[in-house]
Amino acid sequence: MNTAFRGLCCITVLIVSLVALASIALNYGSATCMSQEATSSHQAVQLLELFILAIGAGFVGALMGLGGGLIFVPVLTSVFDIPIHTAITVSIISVIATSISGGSAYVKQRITNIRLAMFLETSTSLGAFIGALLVLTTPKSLLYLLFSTFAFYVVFLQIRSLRAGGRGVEIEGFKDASPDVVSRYLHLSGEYFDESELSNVEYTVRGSIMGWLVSFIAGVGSGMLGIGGGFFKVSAMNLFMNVPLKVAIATSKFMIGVTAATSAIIYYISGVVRLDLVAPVAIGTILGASLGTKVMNRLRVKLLKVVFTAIVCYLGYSMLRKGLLILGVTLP
Amino acid sequence: MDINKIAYWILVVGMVLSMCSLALGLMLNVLGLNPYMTASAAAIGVGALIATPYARVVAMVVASVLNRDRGLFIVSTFVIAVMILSLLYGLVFRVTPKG
Repeated sequence: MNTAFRGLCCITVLIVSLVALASIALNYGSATCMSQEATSSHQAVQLLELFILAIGAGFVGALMGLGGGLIFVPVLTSVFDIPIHTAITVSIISVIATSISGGSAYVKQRITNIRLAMFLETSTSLGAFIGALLVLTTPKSLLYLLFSTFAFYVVFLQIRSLRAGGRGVEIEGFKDASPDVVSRYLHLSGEYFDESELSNVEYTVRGSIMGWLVSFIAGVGSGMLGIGGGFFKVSAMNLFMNVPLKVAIATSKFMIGVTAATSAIIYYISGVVRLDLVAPVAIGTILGASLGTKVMNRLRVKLLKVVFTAIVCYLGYSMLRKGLLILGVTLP
Repeated sequence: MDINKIAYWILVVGMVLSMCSLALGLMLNVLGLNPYMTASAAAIGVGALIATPYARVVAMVVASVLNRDRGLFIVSTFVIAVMILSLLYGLVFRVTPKG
């Protein structure tokens, strides 16, 4: 380990520790409030319920290749009767946790394209910043309706993928494209070793501008709805930028941390995060996601996809009903 | 300097720090023990969680300077600038009434 590398590791530990300690001072008010509320046994039960729910959401999310945000926000608002603004802030912090835990494994295996991640983070962080500013001033009804639209979009994509059947992960034909100006300047193209195919996969990144724009939308969605937005990022990289699916998933997982942290810091410093809810949600999601990743190959994914699609459809409908109720329209 | 190695270690350090603090906070909260310590542990955990991506981008800026990598320097500096801007906006929202 060389000196510069050790220096960087020390800087990291220092930054993380300093910010963590500063956060005690910043959140003194909400922390004190939390400590006063923590004594009741009813709340202890609620925390355990949340923890179990988070394990379930992380588990299902890992099986479906999604973060827990899509499940969390509607469940927190519907089952636990938590206001949507609070649910979004709790969800976005658990999204960082899943990104850090899941992302590190891909980085170690050198599947993640860090240069590509840094390039796309310029747009997702900008989008997340705008999204977070919007969420602090957006009316509840609009947030419910936006979330419901997103849930129905995911349902639509799941149904389409169910109809298309199980396609294998392609690893060929990614090298032949010609890189665009941005890709060439930033050296975005790369390679990785595919363990299932036992071969080195080279790919050339193109369509940088299109990928940048789609990532920007993913960033706004992430900041506004408390979701990771990996769905859009993976599609942007795989469909428009000629990036193999495995690299797209790994890079998206890695990027989500920065996107979510950009909006989470606004919520956290402005004091709207319920600290007591974050711990069970973040830890539970990580445990569930690790479990999901381990059993993924042993389960019948098609059946799970059908169940998951039905759940998301119901959650989307419940969010739509809540949103319309605020506007004075009652749905059955 | 290997940016993969740096990113990996930052993520691992951040995850261990944040998960340990959050787990401690959750345990103390459920058991109803030492209220101030409970709140502090949760605050440290969330702070460490949010600080990890920040530390990762700062490390990328430093690594790009050491590697004389102009492209990576431009994008990582832009990202950290946006992240710092959002931090400053958080402070603005903290001192002004919320909408």
